[in-house]
Amino acid sequence: MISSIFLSIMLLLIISFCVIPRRMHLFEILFLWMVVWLLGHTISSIIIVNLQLLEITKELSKFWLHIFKRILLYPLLIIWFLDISLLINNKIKKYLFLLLLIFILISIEYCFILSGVFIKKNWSIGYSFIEWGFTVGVSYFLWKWYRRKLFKEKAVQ
Amino acid sequence: MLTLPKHFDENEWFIITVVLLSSVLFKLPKRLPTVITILILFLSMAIPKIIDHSIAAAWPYNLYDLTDSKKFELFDVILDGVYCPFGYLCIYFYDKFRPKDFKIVLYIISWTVFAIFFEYIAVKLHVFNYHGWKLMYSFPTYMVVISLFLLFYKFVTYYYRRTLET
Repeated sequence: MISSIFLSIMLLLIISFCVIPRRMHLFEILFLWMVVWLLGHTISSIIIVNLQLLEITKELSKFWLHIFKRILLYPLLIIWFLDISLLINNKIKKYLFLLLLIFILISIEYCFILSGVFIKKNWSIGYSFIEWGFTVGVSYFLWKWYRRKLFKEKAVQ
Repeated sequence: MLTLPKHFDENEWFIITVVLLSSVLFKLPKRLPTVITILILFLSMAIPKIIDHSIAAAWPYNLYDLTDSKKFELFDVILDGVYCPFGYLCIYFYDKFRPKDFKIVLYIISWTVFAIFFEYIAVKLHVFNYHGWKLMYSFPTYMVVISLFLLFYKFVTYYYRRTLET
């Protein structure tokens, strides 16, 4: 039941992302997607395996939900927000917008805890903030760096 | 955080050696645009990362372990760098020789055989410690991954040229 709801929401988000016009170049999207994959997998392994702050459920359907959200949902949300951030010219407003993204990611993580995908062990909202602050921050600055490369090679006008 | 290896032995030396040897790639004449090279390198790291973290995780499949322990070690992260030269060279030589028709199949098989050989050495040196995985399972896996990799390269180069033209 929970898996179908989450998968339906994920699919709706993906379809919306595909049809709504974006400001980013396709390469930026691909780059960010891979950056979030690499960061997300590394950080979640540190949290789950090494620090044992969270535990993954032993239900197979929920385990696959965890895999799908890591591969699709989180990168999609980060890319979408960074794409919208291109419309914001004011630097402070831009950083506040990224802060909103971090809070949304934290909320989603707590939704997964409440739905039983994750089992809370020594987890707190502070760790969640560090996790998503780091992921969004590193993704943002790496994206800026890649975007400059795209401009340099005139792939983006 | 990231744990350090309990014993600094052959698997750590293997990872360090391959990563250091990868620096030779910078000496190769540039064939691909930088923005595409970056995508290729990131994809080379991302695909194995997703596979490793899905099927090698302690639950539910636990088909193999990386390096010394079940914990996520520093060398598990450095291991990502081992995949970069593999992906880059696969695309580099594809771009250089531009195989056509059946030669593309031969090209994919050649890289698969090379990858299997490379993995065999990695297994012998305990970089990968199999529980339920077998080397023969890697053959179709590499065939799929390398084919998708080449398709990805074809697509991004086509898109890159199209962007420059418009």
